Amino acid sequence: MTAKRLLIIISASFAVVVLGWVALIGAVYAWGGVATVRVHDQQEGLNIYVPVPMALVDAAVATGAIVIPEEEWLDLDVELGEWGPMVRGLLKELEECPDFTLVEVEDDWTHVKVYKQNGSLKVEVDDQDVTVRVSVPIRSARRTLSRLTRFV
Amino acid sequence: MRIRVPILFALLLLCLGITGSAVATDLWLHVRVEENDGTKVKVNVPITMVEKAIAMVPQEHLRHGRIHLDDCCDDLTPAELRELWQEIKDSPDMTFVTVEEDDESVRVWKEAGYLKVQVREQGDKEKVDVQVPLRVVDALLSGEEDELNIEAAIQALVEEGEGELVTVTGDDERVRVWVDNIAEAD
Repeated sequence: MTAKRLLIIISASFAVVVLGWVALIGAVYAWGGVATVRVHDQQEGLNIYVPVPMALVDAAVATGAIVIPEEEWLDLDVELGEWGPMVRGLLKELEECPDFTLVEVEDDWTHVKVYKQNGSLKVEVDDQDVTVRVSVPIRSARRTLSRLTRFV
Repeated sequence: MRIRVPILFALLLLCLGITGSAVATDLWLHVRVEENDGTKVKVNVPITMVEKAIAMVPQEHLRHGRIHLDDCCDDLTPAELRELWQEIKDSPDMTFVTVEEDDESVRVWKEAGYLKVQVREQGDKEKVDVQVPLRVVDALLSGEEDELNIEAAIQALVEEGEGELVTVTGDDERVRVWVDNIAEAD
């Protein structure tokens, strides 16, 4: 095997791995989008950004159904079961609404905004020192909740 | 006049309760609170969401969109309340209650299909204005025996469409609750 041929094989393998990852990430995004949490604390110099692919959340719920003992699910049933259908229904309504601001509270120090934008429910908190941004794809959240309540 | 949080919450719940249903697709319930210290609260809720919420509240909290009167009224029995309402409904437009004191006046009257309440304190420095469509109250009291029919009230309000519900103007805050067809009206 010539060096040139070896180089081609390595390059091709590398390309397959990269493309595979790209395809996987694309599929994860396409499947349910990504929930994100961003926290910035100026005083502490803290900067956190956590993207959570909703497909992974679904997978976790599915795995949890197998791994977690039934009694634990029943506890969850007590806490969530009663209100689960209502929350699911509200998320469905929210999904069908146009983009809008649900709640906005502001005073001299703090600004909190909960709003819908491009299919996601977003929460913004701006304090003197801390900035928090949360974004959750509504459709995926509803699907996950459906799975969760179906298990319980 | 200090509007306490529980009162505001109750006000919001009342409005959520009496707002929503059948043709509700484009209607929005808005609540605005502005305080002189710069605090502002804005709430915009699509009425379809209110409908959904009321229909789906677990039965132990709200049975088929109805609540028991004895949960909310100590002074009047359900029968007395209905009787009183029937008299108001059957009467022509008129003033039912007028209270005049040195620094406060209250007036409750019926006008053009609305039950209106007006409170004035310290001259006109503090004002409360509430107007509820008569058919909404009628629907609310259409439940059986000791029940308030929230779902029916919501439907009635939706049929009424856009309008002001509550306006409070105090020394240090202003509250407004209304229904219209704009998602983020001001």
